[in-house]
Amino acid sequence: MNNALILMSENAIDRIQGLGDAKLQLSDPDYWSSVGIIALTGILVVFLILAILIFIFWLMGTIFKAVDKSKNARAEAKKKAEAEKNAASVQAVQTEQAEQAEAEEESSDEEIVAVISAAIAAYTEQGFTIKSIRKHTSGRSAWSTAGISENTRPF
Amino acid sequence: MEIFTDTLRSLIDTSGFAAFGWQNGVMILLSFVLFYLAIVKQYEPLLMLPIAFGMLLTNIPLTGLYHPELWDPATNPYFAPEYIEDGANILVQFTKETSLDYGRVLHDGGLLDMLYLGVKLQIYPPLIFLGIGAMTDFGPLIANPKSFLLGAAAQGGIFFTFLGACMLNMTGIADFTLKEAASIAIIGGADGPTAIYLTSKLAPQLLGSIAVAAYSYMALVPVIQPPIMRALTTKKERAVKMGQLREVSKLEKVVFPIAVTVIVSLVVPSAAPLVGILMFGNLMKESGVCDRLVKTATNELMNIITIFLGVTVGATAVAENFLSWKTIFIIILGLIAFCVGTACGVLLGKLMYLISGKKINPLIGSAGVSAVPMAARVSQKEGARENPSNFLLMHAMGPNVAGVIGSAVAAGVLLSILG
Repeated sequence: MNNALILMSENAIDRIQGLGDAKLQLSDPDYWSSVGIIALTGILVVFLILAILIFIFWLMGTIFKAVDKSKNARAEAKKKAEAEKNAASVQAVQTEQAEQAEAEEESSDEEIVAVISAAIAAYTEQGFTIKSIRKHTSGRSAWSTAGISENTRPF
Repeated sequence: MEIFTDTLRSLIDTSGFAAFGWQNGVMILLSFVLFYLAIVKQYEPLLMLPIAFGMLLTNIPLTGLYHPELWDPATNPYFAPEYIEDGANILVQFTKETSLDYGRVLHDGGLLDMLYLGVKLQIYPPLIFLGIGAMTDFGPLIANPKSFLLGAAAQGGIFFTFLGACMLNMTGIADFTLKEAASIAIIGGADGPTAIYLTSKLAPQLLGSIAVAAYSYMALVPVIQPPIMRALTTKKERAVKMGQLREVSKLEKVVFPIAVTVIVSLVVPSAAPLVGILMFGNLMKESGVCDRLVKTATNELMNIITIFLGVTVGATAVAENFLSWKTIFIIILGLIAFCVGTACGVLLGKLMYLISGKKINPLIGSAGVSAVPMAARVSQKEGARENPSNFLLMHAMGPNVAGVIGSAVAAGVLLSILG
């Protein structure tokens, strides 16, 4: 559509451009129609392209929303089941925790256990069991490990 | 003694003072004004400072850093050789072309001539767009595709100014060719790299003044836009609160740059260098697998290109191009382009407000004139003024980034018709 517009005015615009000097261009009988066509084509093409993009991303958006909905429904059902499972496993952790506490100098703070199991639950989104939690003592600190992996990672 | 005076005289003759004219003085003073704007007023200092310094360097005579005569096909034409076989001999015939002789540029050019090649050959603006793409989050636009319309409406300023520049010809006080009129009009796109890209192709002699005007007005967005926005909207409209945007998935964000590139490049191939590279940068970011490249594109590469671009664009502002009535008209027309673009965006925003059942705040329309993220911040500020609990920023980012695509498309259209 826009190509047709461009073609229609092409000869006149090329001719006017060939005149070079601005004063000569102005004296061309087709000057104003060409100027009008350029401005009109310009704004129409901009709107046309952005309208096409709107349509495509609107379509994409509705598809994704529909997919998300069905996914969410499934995920919710799964979550419920998991929540029950998790509750059981956390209890198991705490009992195990209590048994091993003295032997390995573990952190017996219930809050820390809750935070760690919550973090793992958020990260894995699956059922799991924590068998033991031990304090990390030897080796590099987390910062220096991060620094080393940053500097030694291949391209 | 005679040898000494001779040496001294020849030293004076080869110094800048010998060739110093009043035009040089005026241009150097102008560069001081730009230094003031950049350093004290902090108008887009990252570009304004290099532009001002380029302007200073180029207007000190005999430095040989930049040669305007090398960049004009009239004074440096290219003669294309044609080889004709004549028995055992080969005759060479030269035909004068309309392009310039890059061989001579490489042979005779100075430092800034070499760096200017990147502007002339349209290398720098797309590379800046690469960094911009890698920094831009198109999420708000994907969440609300209707924002594209506002980004398109705000380009109205470009085409209005194109008509305006041509009408100015009629009055006889200015004489702009169609190419010059289009280059001035693109200031309304409020996008520096796009303006430089189009101007370097259509009207390189105006590059200095157009770049200075474009970047000054972009810095002045918080001053220019609010009065127009307030004049065109009612208190009730400005206080409209918009619902939260939906969350956009990673897949959508990855598909977006690919889809935009394919569609825009198919319809307006001449917009591909800008839009394509912009989207390439965005894909690198959204894919999340090219962290190192994203870091380079948004930091080192972009900074290097900004320095080269600024200093060479400033260098094109030699007295014979800059000290003319045209510069004053460019500054006036550029301001008109900005104002009309803002007004078009707000007016379409008003229309969408009515159609949507008063759900869309028309203030986000003004953000359609790219100038990311300044224009979106202005929308946010104006909305919060009416109702302090109103947060329009993310809603305004949609039209804002759509404006970048819109002005690149507008530049592509002008290029394909007039180029």
